[in-house]
Amino acid sequence: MHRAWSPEDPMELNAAPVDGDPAVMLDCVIEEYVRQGWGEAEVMRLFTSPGYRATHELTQLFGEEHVRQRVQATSHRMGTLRFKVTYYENCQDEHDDSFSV
Amino acid sequence: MPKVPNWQLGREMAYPYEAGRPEWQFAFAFNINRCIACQTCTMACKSTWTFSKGQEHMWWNNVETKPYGGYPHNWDIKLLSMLDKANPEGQAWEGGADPKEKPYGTFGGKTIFEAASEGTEQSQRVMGYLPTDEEWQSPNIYEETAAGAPMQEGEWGGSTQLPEHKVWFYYLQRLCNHCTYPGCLAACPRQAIYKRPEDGIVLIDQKRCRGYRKCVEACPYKKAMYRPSTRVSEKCIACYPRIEGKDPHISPDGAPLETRCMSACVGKIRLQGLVKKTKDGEWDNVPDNPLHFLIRDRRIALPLYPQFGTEPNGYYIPPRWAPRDYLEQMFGPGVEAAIEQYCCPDRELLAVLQLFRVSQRIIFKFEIEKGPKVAEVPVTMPSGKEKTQTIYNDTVIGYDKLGKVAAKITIEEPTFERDSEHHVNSI
Repeated sequence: MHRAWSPEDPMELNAAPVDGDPAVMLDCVIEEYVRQGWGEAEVMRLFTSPGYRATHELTQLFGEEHVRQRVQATSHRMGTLRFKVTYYENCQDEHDDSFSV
Repeated sequence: MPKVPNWQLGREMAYPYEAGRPEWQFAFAFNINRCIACQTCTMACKSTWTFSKGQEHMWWNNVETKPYGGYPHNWDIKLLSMLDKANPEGQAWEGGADPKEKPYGTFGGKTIFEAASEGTEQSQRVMGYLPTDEEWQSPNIYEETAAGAPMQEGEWGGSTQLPEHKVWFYYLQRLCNHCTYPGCLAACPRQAIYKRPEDGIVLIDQKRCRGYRKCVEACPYKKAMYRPSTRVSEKCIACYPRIEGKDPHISPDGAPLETRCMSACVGKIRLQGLVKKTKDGEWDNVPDNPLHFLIRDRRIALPLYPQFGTEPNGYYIPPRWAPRDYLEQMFGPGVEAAIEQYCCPDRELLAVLQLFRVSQRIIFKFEIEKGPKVAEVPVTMPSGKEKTQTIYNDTVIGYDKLGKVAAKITIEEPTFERDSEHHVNSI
C-alpha cells in the first residue's frame, strides 16, 4: 500500500524537498580542492573512498568516470595552485613543506 | 530589561543583563565549502573532554548535514518555528546596510529574548525548548538518507513515500559560539554561567550549577548539555588552557594555541582566534587580524542564525552551491555578497584564506609580502558570469600573540596539465 506524501502528516514527515543541484555541488567541491593544490589522484580518492560519505555519494550518483572527467576539466581550466608553506610550530624549529600534488 | 547593542542585527535589543565588556573575544571562521565531514574535529573534542560516564550524548563539537541534520535533532527548525509562531510573518531583515554599523541591514523581527518577554511563561527570559532524550540520541542518524530508516514491507510507517535528496547539501560544523549575549547565561536562575573578561569564553561554574537545565532550554544552538551522572550542566570550554597558552609541551613560550577541534581539522576549513574589543564592547578596528579581515572588513564569513540575537562569535563562509534563500535564513542577508567575493578572491583574500588551519598557534596578525603576477585563471561566477582571477606570487605571514612568525605561505605559479584532446604539439 502506498499513499502520497503529505506535508501535514506529523507522524511521517522526515524531510521536505529543497531545490538544489548536485552537479553544481560536484563542480564546486572539485574546484575547492584543486584550489588547495590537490592533484587528480588525491581528489579522486576523496570521491571514491566510502569513508567520505558525501563525495562518495556524488560518485555513486554521477559515476566515477564522470567525476574523473570533471576533475580533469577543472584542473585543465584552473591549473593546480601550488603553495610553499613554512611552519614555525614551536617558533624554534622551522621546516619547509613545499607541496604541489 | 536593559537594551544592548547588537551589530549583527543592526540595532539595539532587549537582554536581561547589561552588556559584558571582555578585553578579547574568542571567535572563529569556518569555510563550509571545504568540509567533507571527516569528523576529526568531533573526535578530537570527544576524546579530550567528553569521554566519561554521563557524557555519552555530549558532542560539544559536531558536524551535521544540512538541510536534514541537526544535533539534537531538528534544533534549528524547532526554534525557527517557535519564533515564527511568536511573530508571524515578522521575522525579516530590512535593507539599508551600512558596512560599519549595520553590515547586514536591520533585523525587524524578534530575537529569542524579545519573543520570550511576550511569551506564555512569565518566568521565561529566553524563548527555547528542552530537547527530548530521543533528540539527544544518535547524532547524524538519517541525515544523508533523508527519507528515514528502511522499513520492512507492511510495517506501519513504511508505506509513505517521502521526497528525498539525491545527495547531501552541505556540512555545518558546530560548537558553542561563546556568544556576546549568551542565551544560557541569561536563563540561568543560579547565575552560574559567566563570560570571562579576558577572552569572552562562556563557562558554567560547576559548583554553582544545580542542574535546572534552563541553559539547555535557552541556548538556541543547543550547546549546553545536562550530565545526569553529576546532575549539573556542561558545555564547551573553548579549550581555555590552550587559549591561555598554558601547555608547557606544545607552547613552551606561552603563546595562545587554537582549540583541539580547530587544530585537528584536516580539511583546513578552520581559523580560530581572539579579536580585540574596545572598552565599549565593539570590535576594535584591527585590519591585519585575519578574523577581523574576514568578518568585519570583507564580510565573507557570516554569523550562524544572527536573528536569534545572541551575537554568536562563530562565523561561516557559506557554501557556493546551496539555494540562496535557504542560506539567507541561516546566515542572514550577507550571503550573496560573501559568495561573490569567495568565488573570485582578490590577492589579499586569497592570501588570508591560506591561513586556515596552518598553525596550532593562534594567528593575531597577518602580513602580505607582495610578489609578481604569475597567472590569470578563468572563474565562472554563481551568476554564470565569467571573471578572471589574477594570481600573484604573494607570501602571507601569520604572527602569533608574541609577535613571532607562526607560518609563512607562498602562493606559487599554478601548474597546468594539458588536456590530451588539445595536445597539438605532442611529438
